[in-house]
Amino acid sequence: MIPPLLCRLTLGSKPRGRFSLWLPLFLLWPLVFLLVLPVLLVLMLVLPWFQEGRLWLRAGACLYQALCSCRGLSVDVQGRQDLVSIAID
Amino acid sequence: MSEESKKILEMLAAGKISVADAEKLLNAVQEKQARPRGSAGKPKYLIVNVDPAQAGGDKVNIRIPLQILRAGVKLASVMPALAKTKLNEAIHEKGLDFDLDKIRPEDIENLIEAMGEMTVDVNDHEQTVRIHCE
Repeated sequence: MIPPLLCRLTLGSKPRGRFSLWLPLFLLWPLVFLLVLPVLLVLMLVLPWFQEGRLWLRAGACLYQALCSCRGLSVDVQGRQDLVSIAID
Repeated sequence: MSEESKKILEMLAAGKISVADAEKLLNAVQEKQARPRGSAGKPKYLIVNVDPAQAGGDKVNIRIPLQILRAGVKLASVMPALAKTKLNEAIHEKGLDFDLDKIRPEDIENLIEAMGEMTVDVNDHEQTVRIHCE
């Protein structure tokens, strides 16, 4: 289960040309992990004591899985003049 | 020699099939064995292509990982009952006879496997829409 590592964004229009933006998401995850880890640890200790807490924990795990499953998603829209392309790897 | 090939030869020996039929069946078995394992597996992506009928229209290519479907089913299973009821009502309002409670992970696996052989082509005077899995 690896979250998306790279997001490729391409925008373009015919008179101006096109440019691609490579967003290195893999740089973001360690930072998010460090910020979220303390909160996550507290939640994991507290939430199981409540009936709905377990559901929230499971929902969190499912959301993480949904995020990871976004790898490979790609959307390309090419019009007469403009081009928009988003690819998540 | 595989079990399938043996059975075909036994049927030929018993006179149940002709030589020509046996040859066809053996060729089919050989083709099946020669096929790479991955190609017979489950599809990984749902592909949606929209091509304009006339030049200058919008061309759309979307590739959706089917893993999202699996994650969505798991997410639906932890959804609060109230939210699920509202979603079901919204789905029924759209005229779809579909209930989120009835979706099971094993059904999704069967659905994804079946989608591997599915292709939807919609042609009209403005555009061609093609939906398939790969």
